[in-house]
Amino acid sequence: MDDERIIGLYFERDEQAIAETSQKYSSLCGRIAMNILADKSDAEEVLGDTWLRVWKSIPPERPKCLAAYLTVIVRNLSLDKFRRRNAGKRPDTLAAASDEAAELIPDTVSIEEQTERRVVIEAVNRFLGTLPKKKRVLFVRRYFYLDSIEEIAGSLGVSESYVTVTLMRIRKKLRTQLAKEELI
Amino acid sequence: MNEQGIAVLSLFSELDERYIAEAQEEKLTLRHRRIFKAPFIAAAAAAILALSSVGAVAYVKGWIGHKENVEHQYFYNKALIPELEKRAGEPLEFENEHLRITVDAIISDAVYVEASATIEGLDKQGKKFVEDGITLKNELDGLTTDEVFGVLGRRNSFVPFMTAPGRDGEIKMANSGSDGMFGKKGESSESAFTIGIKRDLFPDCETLELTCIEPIHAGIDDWTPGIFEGIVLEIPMKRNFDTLVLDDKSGREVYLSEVCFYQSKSDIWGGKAFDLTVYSKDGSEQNIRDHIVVGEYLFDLENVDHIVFNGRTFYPKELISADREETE
Repeated sequence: MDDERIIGLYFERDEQAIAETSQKYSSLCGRIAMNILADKSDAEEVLGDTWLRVWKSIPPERPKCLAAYLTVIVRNLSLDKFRRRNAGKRPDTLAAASDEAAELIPDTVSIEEQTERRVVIEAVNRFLGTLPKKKRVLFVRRYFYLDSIEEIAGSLGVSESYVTVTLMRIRKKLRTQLAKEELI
Repeated sequence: MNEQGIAVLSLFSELDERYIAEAQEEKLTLRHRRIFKAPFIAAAAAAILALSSVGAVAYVKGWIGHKENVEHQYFYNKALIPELEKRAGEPLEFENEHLRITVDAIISDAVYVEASATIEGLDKQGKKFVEDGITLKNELDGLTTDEVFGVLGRRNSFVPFMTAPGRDGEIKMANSGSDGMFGKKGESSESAFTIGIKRDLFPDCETLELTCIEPIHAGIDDWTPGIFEGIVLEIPMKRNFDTLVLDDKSGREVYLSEVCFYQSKSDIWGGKAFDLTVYSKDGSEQNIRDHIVVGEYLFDLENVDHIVFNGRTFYPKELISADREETE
């Protein structure tokens, strides 16, 4: 079922919307949740929370891109759950990605306040807009979808070292740009 | 736990949803394709022959990418090409949105690695970049000598400068020359060049990563910033030709491979004097003077009895075999 029809079901308050969403996007959302949580039961719990969150938010929201809308929700919920966990396996992928991401904004800079977040994320989005699509996809796969270097390299048919080097360069450029805009 | 890192990743939940969707849907077109592995060729050929009608002939592409370009590079020894076709490995492609560099064939012994490569322009900027580095012979016809030198003098080079991680940090690679009068312009903009690598600089390296850098980092004006951005060549360093180590019984070693002679592992081409005679077990001898380039000769190492180089006699000490792969 196409996304427009699924969204239509939400607006009609037809619970079939959840079934259709789950059928179409469980795999994608599950992958993101597992990348962060590395625990099947936690990931399943987050998926359930995701469908509920979407049910409650559409309407009034009418996402232009349902896939993007869902992935943002599942990602946020997964990261929230990760933070709340006192113990548990720390996925290597998340550990590595978080170490890399920390290079971008030093911990002396706060990104907790909504205003600060908005300004920084707008700058990041502007920066991403200047990148060739290929590099932008690489960045988003790593730092939004939290795919491992191995997964990215394997699915795109490039070497792991190519992915690592390219990401390093993008981070360096982004950091330079954020410094230029006096955001860090 | 890297709290700041998690905070930044959390922030990225607010990335532009166009980019989120794009990453999910699109596959990068940066390719690192492995083309025509030998067992695959054999199987494909067998399949084609099995299905073909009586009298039909199956044609199977050889291993070398851009064969015409490799033949041009090694024009001085036609016998080299069939040997390369047997052992050159698979052409490898590396590209960004502007350019594609294909490593068409690799000659690799225990001392030196030489890759023959083709560069192609993919978009308007890339095509112009490649074409600016070529002056075809027919473009020079009718020009005076001064005009020819003027044209060639202004010509930019399309050969990238490359860095590789060596023992002491990054090392700038000096590629060997290209023939600036060879190539294609127009719908298909391409030319060829070679990359030379001394193994001594990269001991125990299985795959050498050569990152293309902008000319300004080599002290040259940057006429096309970013043209090579993101291109990292990966050169397999497996040996595909045997090398004979010879010594003069006083400890000095020289190296004779199936495709070249080297005076040492570090100073491989040595000084200007060059007088080499290879004496074979069957009584024949071969004398080479002035210089030698990779692939200029094919030496039968099993038949080598001794050599005399610049007046000194060297005897076989050890054979370093090529890394051979099993093929069907």
